[in-house]
Amino acid sequence: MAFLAYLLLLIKLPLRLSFKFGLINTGILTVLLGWKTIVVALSLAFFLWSILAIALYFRNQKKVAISISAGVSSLLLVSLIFIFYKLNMENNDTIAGLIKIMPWAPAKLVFPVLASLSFSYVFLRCIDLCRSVVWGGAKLLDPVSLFGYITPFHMLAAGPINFYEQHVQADEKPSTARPRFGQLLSVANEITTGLFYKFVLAEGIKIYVWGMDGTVQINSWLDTGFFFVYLFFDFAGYSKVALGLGRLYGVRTPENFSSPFLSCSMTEFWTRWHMSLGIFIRNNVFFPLQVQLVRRMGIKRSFLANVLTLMVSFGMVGLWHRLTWEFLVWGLANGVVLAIEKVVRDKYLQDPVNQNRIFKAGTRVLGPAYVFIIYTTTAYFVKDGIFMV
Amino acid sequence: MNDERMEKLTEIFQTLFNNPSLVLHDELVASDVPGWDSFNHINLVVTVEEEFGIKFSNDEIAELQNVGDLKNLLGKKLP
Repeated sequence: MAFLAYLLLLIKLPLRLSFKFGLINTGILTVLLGWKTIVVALSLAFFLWSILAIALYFRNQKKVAISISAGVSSLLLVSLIFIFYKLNMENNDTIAGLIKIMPWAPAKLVFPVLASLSFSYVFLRCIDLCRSVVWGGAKLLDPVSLFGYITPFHMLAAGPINFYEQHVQADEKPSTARPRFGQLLSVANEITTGLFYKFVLAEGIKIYVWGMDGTVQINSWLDTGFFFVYLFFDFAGYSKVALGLGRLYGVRTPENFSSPFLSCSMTEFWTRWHMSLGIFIRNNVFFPLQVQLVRRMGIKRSFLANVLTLMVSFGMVGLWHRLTWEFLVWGLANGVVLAIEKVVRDKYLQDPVNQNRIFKAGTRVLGPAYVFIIYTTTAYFVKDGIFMV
Repeated sequence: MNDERMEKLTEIFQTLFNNPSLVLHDELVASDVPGWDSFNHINLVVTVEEEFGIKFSNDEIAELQNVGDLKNLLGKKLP
């Protein structure tokens, strides 16, 4: 199916790449998930597209207030759907109550569709889309291309989170020429490595630790260590296959992992593990909030701003995984660790006294061990829900 | 960018990263400068804003990759 998509993309038609991909993507998703799911999903995408089109229409009419209100409502709408989707995943009573109050709401129709699309990732793409179109000056694609951006089949199950402006830019520089042998080799390399990670290494660890028919579960602290190695090969495997397919299609698919186990600090870990989520939070939450705070509070008091921004950013990372108190605390704990690391880095590590070779070699060796201990410890406390993203 | 502005920019970098011998060039990136993390990136941006009397948008801040980008952006914003 993935190869068929490539062959279809090779057909020379006077269409934009994003539109061609949008069409093929809709076809493939229809085969994979059934036409009913796709009709509902397409309608939702069309609804979002209409709100954004309204925002752009009023911006052209110089009615900025209406345009911004439409933009804000698009963000609110996708956030609300996300919150309900997550609460529903937790089997929360609020949802059952809500359905009773609003029997007309198509909850029974929409929730299964959101689940089969792995809406957590779709949600972040929708946010990036709304922000880029309404506030970033990016152009709005047609509904079919837009559907290809928010639910790309090769990034559907486990990300990575691709960025709207990069998706649009691929239209301007399409790779119409046949790919060179070297490029095809790099595609094959990513896909085979990804499959090896997932089906040999991750599955191997799973069978070794949890038995032939066992399910992955965390019963002890040691299990958490195994779990992380398993999770890495599983998640990075998916990401590599997606990256390879993305390169083949010419659809921008970001790197998601860069040897995270070699990180020397948690700060570094979060730039190497699930990188597309890190970049998303950095650009959409961390930078905007930090800039506002530092502008208001002044650079002298920027440390307070740092702590606040870290807490908000990582609180959101936690809640994005699951909408529970445990995950909020897990996110905040990561924020605290990063704030402490910031103090240590500024006060001690950058001191010229500590810039000698022995010290640097020491951190290279001890750093990864420290990082492994910290993330297994923090993850141990959310062990019950770590799979449901 | 003229010499006076370049001097001002160099001074900002030297004070912020506590390194009086820091020399700016277009390809200089965050990983080359000890202390240039995401936090100090924002401190740098806000200091530049205050010193040159301009404002950056969120997208511009996120897209700044190296000193060359910063110089280009300043060139566009300053008369």
